[in-house]
Amino acid sequence: MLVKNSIPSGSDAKIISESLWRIRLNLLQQAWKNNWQIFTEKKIGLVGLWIIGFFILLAISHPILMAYWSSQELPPEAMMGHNKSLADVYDPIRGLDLRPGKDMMPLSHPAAPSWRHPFGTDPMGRDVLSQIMYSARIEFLFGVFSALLSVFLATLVGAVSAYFGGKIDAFFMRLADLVLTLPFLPFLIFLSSLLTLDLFKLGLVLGLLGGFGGRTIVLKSQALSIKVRPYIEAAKIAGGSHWHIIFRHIIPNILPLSFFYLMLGVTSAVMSEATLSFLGLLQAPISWGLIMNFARSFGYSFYEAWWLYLIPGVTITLFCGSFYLVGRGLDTLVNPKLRKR
Amino acid sequence: MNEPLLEVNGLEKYFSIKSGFFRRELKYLQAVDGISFKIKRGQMFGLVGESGCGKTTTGRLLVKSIAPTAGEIVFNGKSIIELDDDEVRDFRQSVQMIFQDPYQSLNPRMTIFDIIAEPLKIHKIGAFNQREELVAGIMEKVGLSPAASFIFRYPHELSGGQRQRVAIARAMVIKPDFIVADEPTSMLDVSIRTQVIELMKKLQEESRVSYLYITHDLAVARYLCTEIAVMYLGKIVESGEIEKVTQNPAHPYTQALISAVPIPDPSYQRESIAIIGGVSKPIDLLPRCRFYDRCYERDQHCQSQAMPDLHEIEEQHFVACYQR
Ligand SMILES: Nc1ncnc2c1ncn2[C@@H]1O[C@H](COP(=O)(O)OP(=O)(O)OP(=O)(O)O)[C@@H](O)[C@H]1O
Ligand SMILES: [Mg+2]
Repeated sequence: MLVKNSIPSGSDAKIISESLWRIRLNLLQQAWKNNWQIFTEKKIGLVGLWIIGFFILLAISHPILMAYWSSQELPPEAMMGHNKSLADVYDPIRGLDLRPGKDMMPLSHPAAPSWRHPFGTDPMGRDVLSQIMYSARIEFLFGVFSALLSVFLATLVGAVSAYFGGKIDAFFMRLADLVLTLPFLPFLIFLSSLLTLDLFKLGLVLGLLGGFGGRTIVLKSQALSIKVRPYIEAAKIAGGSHWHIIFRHIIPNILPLSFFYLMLGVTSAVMSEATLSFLGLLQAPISWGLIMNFARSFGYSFYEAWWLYLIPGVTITLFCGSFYLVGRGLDTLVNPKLRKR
Repeated sequence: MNEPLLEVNGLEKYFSIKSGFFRRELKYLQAVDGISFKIKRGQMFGLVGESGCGKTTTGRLLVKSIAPTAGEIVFNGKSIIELDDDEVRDFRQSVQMIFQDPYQSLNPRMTIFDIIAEPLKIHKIGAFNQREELVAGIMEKVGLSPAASFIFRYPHELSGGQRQRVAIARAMVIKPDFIVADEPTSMLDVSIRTQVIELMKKLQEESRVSYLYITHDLAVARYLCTEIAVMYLGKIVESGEIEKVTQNPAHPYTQALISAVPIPDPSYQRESIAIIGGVSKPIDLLPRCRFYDRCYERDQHCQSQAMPDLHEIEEQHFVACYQR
């Protein structure tokens, strides 16, 4: 058995003159180009990508703006006995804008949008634009972490229960049923009464619920359709182990769908977070939902301080919508039958 | 040399199927029902029969892809039914299977290189750059040349014939002793079929690999194989040396199959034999000759007796029929 598998040299060698790495790289590039072309055929995904790009810009530019402002001192007539730099004005968490307006009177908060505060201020005198920008970074980290966790779990669990079937499958499917029938919001409210629910814990909970819930079932059914393909049997006949087949054959073939769910996962995670924040059940320093929560808990209605509801509301919608749109744009890549060509 | 590479004794595979109200009734589909044959080293053995007679199931049993219900498969002097882990690994390295449908048997997300090199990776044969040379070498051998222009493509970029060549290359790359080729040309265009059949013949002559060549085309079997078995509803009804079976078919079913093979010479008139009815599924069969319902030579004896056993009617020619 050893002899027969020894590598033939001489005659078979040097059949390919070109560097194989170059060929590989070229083809990879080609594949990216093709996929990009298919993705951009549908404008819907591109729009989503633009909005995400805008939010990324927002998230990165906030610290840069902070650095710029903090290098400036307040004019002495505006200090009014305080000793602080302009940075404090825009500190989204503590910054109370004490500078006087045109009439040399301090602004009364919440202040409507103005040149100084394009999105107005909240009841505690904090700049809303700064809060929106600062939160963007948090929402990104939170949404992507939670979605990644849930999709990672759903893909793995889906592939494993499809492949092994039997008791393993039955266990995970009953678990999924349980998660699916769980009243989502009441459960989270209950959870927040048990422990201080911060963003990390919420991301973990949402990731776990998503990972063992409905997405598992969808990914499992996709994996089931892959499992019966002859190339799986071919891999088995070639001696491939269970894990070889799961990781080399089943998962790569359901990964496009996982990617689609990754996008939807960000959307649903951020929405849940916004809901909990608005209800004041989340222990977060700052978030889009919290802006609305503050407005409400300070007793301001939409008519009195519309910017405190409208602006974060639109922001949340845009952010969640953008990931959803990219997900929809991936549809054609995930499902080749939808392609025009 | 004379000792067979593979010996099959009384091999059976029953699939349980649930039917009836609430799918409570358990029935058995006798896909393979007690077949025996031997394949010699370096031999191309043909398995012929119409759709649904259990050819693929037999092939899958021989490569240990599914477990038999009963019977024995002896490979290289060792029963493959109960092997320990090391023996299974060795066995997996010595047998391969080529599937019917080249559009389904290659993973669409793997490059041709990854597909062909997969058995090498699994059995840890060769270092990475050696594998590229090995794969390129075998690709040239199966007619995928220049290899460099195919090696990192994906299956969907290849034609059916090229894909089947990839499947053949993949089966050969670890130099197995035995390959099951399950109708490798039935899904291909007629024009490409001959090329792939020629390739199979060339490869078989060059190496000492044994094949079980599954087909429903007797002409192909005659061109490639030295010995064949004709299957009907899970049973072998006739077997033996290829010339004897094709020149002097004894079983009514084989005779009907031969009369269906087109003849190149238009002036030649051959008596066409019509068989009655269509294929049925081997479920809940009456304990008599499988071919009884469609046979044109049946008589009272056939109706009352059990399925006939194979018996030798001339040297190296066996048939299972009461009329012979
Ligand atoms: N996994 C299975 N479960 C239940 N029945 C099966 C299974 N696999 C095959 N069968 C049945 O067993 C019988 C034989 O099938 P098999 O695929 O071996 O036929 P075949 O001779 O290869 O036919 P074809 O020429 O169409 O490929 C058929 O009736 C088929 O429906
Ligand atoms: Mg078949």
